[in-house]
Amino acid sequence: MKIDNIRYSRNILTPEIGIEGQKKILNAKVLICGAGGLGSTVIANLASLGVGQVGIVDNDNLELSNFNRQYIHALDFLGKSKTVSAANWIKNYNTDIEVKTFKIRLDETNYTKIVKEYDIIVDCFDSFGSKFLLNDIALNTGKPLVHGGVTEFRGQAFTIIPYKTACLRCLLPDADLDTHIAKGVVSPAVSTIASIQSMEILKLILDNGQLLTDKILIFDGLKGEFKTIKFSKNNNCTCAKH
Amino acid sequence: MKITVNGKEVELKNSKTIADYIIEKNVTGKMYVIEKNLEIIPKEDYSKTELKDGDIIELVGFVGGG
Repeated sequence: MKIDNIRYSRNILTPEIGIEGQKKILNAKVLICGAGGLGSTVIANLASLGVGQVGIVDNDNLELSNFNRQYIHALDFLGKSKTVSAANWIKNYNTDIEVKTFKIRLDETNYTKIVKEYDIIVDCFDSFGSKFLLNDIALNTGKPLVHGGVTEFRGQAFTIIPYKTACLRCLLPDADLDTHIAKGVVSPAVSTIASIQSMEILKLILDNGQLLTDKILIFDGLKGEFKTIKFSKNNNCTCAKH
Repeated sequence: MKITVNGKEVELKNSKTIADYIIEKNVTGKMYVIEKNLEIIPKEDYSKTELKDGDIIELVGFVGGG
């Protein structure tokens, strides 16, 4: 494998990465579910790291209201597919990245062929329903899932290793998936949570560092506060019965 | 008894457990977790997690945007 030692020099100089770590990153395959707010920063971070294969799932077209936070998208793509816009950004930033785009609304019937190509799933979706869908997909496929959620000035992130660590349903067994109230969100909160997710992905790829498993990192931007809170597998959860 | 919730002192008249607190204070919705001593209390344990005077708990809203 030919590695661009100049492009990735700052990755390679990092002791926990080196040449071997950079090879792992270039060989990694990550499915990014959502090319909006969280997706923008995750895409930018993974492309910067050199994650070799990236899948991007998003059914939406760009709207002007996206531009308070979805910063990888260009105005030229207003009204057009977010996945195409995101792929275009990557192409103009790092040609080492192989990108596949999926302009679909992911659901229980159409995820299998897509997900099986990737090693890690990252949740950059924007509804409770879709986040719980990804939780279930992770359990069905055994693929690690990096969860993230954000609104206003706050958010949370954690990682799920299917059947080994607590899942989203362990945390919220009686989730109200119809909850959808349009709320504001600010760019710094979005990119903070997405950067935490990106860091989790990097640690998974390198198999190094302490993952946010069986714990949730909560960020409150107004208070300037990060808090890590433990939680455990729910013995009544599907994930405990494998 | 008096407990602290999200940094503010709260007086409880009838509550002995977290489940009682949720009812007494009319905590609505489901997309939240309750943390006590940096651990999330499982929802099924709310009715058996006792509260005592001076307890500090955080009610953390779970957000679904992206």
